[in-house]
Amino acid sequence: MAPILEVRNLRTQFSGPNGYVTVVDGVSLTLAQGETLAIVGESGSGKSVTAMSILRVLPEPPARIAGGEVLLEGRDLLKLDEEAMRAVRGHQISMIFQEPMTSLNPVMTIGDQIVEALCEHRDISQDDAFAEAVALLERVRIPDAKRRVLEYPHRLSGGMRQRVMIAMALACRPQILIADEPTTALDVTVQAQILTLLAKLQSEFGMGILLITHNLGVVARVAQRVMVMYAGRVVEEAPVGPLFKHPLHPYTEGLLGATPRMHSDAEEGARQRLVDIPGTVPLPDKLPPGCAFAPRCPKVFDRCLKERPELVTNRDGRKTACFLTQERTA
Amino acid sequence: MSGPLLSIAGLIVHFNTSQGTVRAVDGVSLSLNKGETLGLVGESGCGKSTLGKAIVGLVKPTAGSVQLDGMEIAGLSRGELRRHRARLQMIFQDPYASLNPRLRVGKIIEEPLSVHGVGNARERRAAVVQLAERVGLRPEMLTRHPHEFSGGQRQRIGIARALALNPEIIICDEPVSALDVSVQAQVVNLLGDLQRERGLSYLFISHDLSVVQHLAHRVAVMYLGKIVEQAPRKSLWARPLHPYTRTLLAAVPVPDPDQPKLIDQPMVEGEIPSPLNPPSGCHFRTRCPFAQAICAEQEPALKEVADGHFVACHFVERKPDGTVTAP
Repeated sequence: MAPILEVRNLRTQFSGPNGYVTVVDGVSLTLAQGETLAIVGESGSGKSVTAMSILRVLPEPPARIAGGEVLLEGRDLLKLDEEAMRAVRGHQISMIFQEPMTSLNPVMTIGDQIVEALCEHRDISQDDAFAEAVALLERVRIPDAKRRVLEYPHRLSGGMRQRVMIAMALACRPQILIADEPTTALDVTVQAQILTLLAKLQSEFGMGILLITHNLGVVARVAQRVMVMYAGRVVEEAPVGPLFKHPLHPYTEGLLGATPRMHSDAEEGARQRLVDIPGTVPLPDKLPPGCAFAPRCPKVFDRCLKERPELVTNRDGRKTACFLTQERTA
Repeated sequence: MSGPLLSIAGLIVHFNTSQGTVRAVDGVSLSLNKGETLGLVGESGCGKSTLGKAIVGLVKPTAGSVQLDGMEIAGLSRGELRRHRARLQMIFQDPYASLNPRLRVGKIIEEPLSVHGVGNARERRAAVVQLAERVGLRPEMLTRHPHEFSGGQRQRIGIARALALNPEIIICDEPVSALDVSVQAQVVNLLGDLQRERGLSYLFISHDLSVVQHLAHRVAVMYLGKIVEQAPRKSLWARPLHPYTRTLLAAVPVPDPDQPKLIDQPMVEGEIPSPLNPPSGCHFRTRCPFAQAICAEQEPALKEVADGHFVACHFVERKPDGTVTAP
């Protein structure tokens, strides 16, 4: 299927005391209708900055998009002026965040906020918009929606706020939903509810979801494709099944091995020692000359220290940025 | 055989607020043996952190008993508690909040030794270097301040400080929750190694059941101030009995696309109610798919249904032939 969103060679920089620092370095991705693409990585990998660059919601300055294209149905969003971009945000692409309170207005009722979002993008009367706000809250399974619509955000639990955020994000039936760690702050039972809700809404509306998360369990449950980021670059991309079964990049392998997993035989879970990736993610202004993962990589060899591996598509259509896997499959 | 190292009985912690009494911990009994890890799991607001703090005396228990090797320590004054501090330490989720930002790391790790008057200055400094090395900090790092460290390194500093007095028990309150997974694995492995080397006992408080399975020998599941199930690791995962435990286990997303669920359990609706006004009877009944009239009327007692396996549910029963039925 033709992608609705195509990002090519995106480069995002932040100004620092010693000039610009590249935080997202040549990221490319595609997203099709009804598809969920997960971007995984640890803090500092550039996954959130990638998402915010696509929607151009980073404060400029200090940020600047230094290069690349963000094509929404062929139209480059990076070339739009702010007014045209506003028409895209919320209408064609929506975003939800880890902490809904940062994007909900604390002094407006939930209903008024949804009505505002609807009226911004659609020619709709206040009364109709209000009725639709109630319908949207019901759709995201907020109990007693008629009463809740009149409440302020602080009266709601974290899970309910995330539902309100989802209702607002989907108010204009966007083609793409960017979800940045949408369940990270939630308890595990509420996380399961929200993931199920998102999957249901996706099958109803057919939107593409760009899911940003550090949780590999969440990825396995909802995504079809996965992109692994490290220090601002994509190091591996693959369909979810092959990536979990047979990770190619040593960083992906390390991430999977470091993640504790529950076994139905608990003794087995307890016996396995977690894979220890030594050290931490390097800061973007202190990247080593070769592969950014080389200082932590158990399979490092001399070429990795001098030369940076590019992201290459292997014969089976998987992509990796690692000399080892490229040599093996070449 | 001697009794457990730490034994908690009928512990209650209530907070009076302008909106009423918060029943954070509402009658909890637990025990911890030497060299053992007891996992304490539950969702936010269940009272697990308050329980940990009440054990070490950071929060004053309203009622109940905390015995360290048979000695009562609940409700002791700060000064009296200090004598026991050498044996009982705590590490926290956010090490930064528990490290004095103005002190150099060496001083932070040394502080418990100075407070307890252990050794002279030179001996203490040597001990600090040893502790730092054991948790994976280089000696030259000791002259830096906490803000110069990453989250994982700060947790190592917190662990080194907790180890300084050579304690027998460490209360670990979500020690890896704020860390990236690669660093989380480093700290989880370190805690496991330290336990084997030193025979430490951990009360490991966490919301993450995967980490708990990895570290804990026994697990207690807490919901709205009460323990609803407690079992050895093997039996908890082989046969979780309380509907809440089953719900929790089913909700954990497993990092394996071919095995999305460990157990089949209907997803619960709603969220944990406020501890200001917990439901009558069984606290879980408002979210439980199996709730009946009796659950609102009567609080289920925590009863032993199999060897070391305790459950508080009206519908979990041990038959005369020893088999256990669950909803």
